[in-house]
Amino acid sequence: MQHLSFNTLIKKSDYHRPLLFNSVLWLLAFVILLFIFSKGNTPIKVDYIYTVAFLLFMAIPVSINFYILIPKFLKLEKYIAYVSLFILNLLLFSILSSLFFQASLDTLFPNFFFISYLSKTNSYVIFSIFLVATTLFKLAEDWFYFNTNENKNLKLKNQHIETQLSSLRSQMNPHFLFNSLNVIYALALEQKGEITKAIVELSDILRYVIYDSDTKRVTLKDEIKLLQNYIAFQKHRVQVSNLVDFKIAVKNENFKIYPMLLLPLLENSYKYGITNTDSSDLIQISLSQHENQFEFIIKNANIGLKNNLDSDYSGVGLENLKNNLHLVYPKKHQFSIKNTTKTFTVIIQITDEQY
Amino acid sequence: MKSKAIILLASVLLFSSCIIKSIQPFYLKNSLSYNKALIGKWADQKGGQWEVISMKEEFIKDKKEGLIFSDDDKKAYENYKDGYFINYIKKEKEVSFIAMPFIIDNQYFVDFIPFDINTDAINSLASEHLLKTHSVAKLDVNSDTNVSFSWLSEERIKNLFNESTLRLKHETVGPEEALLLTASSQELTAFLKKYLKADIKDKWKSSDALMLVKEII
Repeated sequence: MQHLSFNTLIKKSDYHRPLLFNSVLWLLAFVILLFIFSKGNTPIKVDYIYTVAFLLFMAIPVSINFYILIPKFLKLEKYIAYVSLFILNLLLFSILSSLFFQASLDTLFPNFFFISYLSKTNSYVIFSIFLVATTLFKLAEDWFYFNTNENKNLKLKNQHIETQLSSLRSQMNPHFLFNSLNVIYALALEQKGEITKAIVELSDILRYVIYDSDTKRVTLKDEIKLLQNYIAFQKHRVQVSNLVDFKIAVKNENFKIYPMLLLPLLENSYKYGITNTDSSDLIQISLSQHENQFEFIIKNANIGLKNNLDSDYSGVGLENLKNNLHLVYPKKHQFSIKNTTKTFTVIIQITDEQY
Repeated sequence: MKSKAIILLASVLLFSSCIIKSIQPFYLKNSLSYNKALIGKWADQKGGQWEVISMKEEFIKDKKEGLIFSDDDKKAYENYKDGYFINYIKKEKEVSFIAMPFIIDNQYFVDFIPFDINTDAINSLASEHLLKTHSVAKLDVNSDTNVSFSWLSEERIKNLFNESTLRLKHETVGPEEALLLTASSQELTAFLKKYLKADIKDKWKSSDALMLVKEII
């Protein structure tokens, strides 16, 4: 539904105003031609008649150009056909003008002397300039509306993306909170002394997730800290020592990435990649960054459960992650999953010039 | 080539008072049409004596007499071979013109331009200010011995300008605000063509209209 309304908005944003455009164009043409025909003097009756008559005659080739040649040839990128027909239109009406325009005026206004206006050569020149100028004016008008529409569409698209991202994030946070509360709940049940430490760790994680991650980009340093806090927090839940092998090779800790991209993958590994008893089910994480390249690899044992990033709980999962990457890093990322009988590996590679 | 023309300021003013003047000729080369009927000696109703000579014949005559033509003379011959050399004498004052006959819509016209101005009669500084301009007259050949010239009147043209019904390049010059046409010959031809058809009362009537009667020798 959202996509449909977005398209509808785009369609509605066609703001061409032919009446306004033609009024401005012909008024402008009238003023310029009147100035030319009156040779810079104060215009007199005969100048007004000649200018109006000339514009009425010119309206025919200009309209042919505007409403037939431009939409059917120029806009469809049939440039050769357009130029040929444009020249044909120009020549045809220039010849018709030299044959009939002056004669018609003399017949209609026998006592008016339209003498020092356009010679034959000048009429060809004025015709050419007028047709070219009006074409440029039309293209400028098209560009103006195209640009306006383009900006409007861009704003709408940005709004659309923001809405999508906000929606995905707001879905992710409660998911994480429920998992964490479950851990606290388990510690409380067992009345373990480390519950206070766990609450502080959870508090740090939540502060980051709720406040700090609500920005467009976060530093790698903060994102690594989140993962480390999460791993520390999970130690209260999983009774296996040295469960996570976290290798970090970061050249620039201030390299910025989109927030909360990595945590869902770590959550996934904890949820589906380990058992509480088998210490061999190691989670291997490799996080590396060099210049504008960022890579995150997370590998856990495939113990038969479905690695689907908790889709049952939140309705989001790997698909969410893919969507986020697609929106935030269009054509600048690679997302791959290697699912073998023994291991489940997710690889994210990002190339970001804005690091 | 006859170059005895003497022109006095008074005689210039005789014509300049009412006729329209132009920087450019009123004819186009392709509209020139030589009319032999005008050759000869004529007398007008105001006591003026006219001698009309063919330019071409005059050139040939000069050539026979052994006159050597310069490049300028040859150029002049090419330009004016279809025209007349006119001597006009009135009250013992003589003036000469080059007159070029041409046709627009079956109507004869003659373009006049003073040929030579003798500056002896007027102050030399004043003569430096004089400019040879063209005038145009409608020529009606009434019979072999009777023709009339009706000059295009400045008053009529001024009326058209005042009524805002004419756009023709022009300037108003001097303290008298004399009208001087600056339009091209093409435009002047177009104007004459339209003027011939225009419904304007007394459009050729002026005090400068001359009826010429051929003198029988």
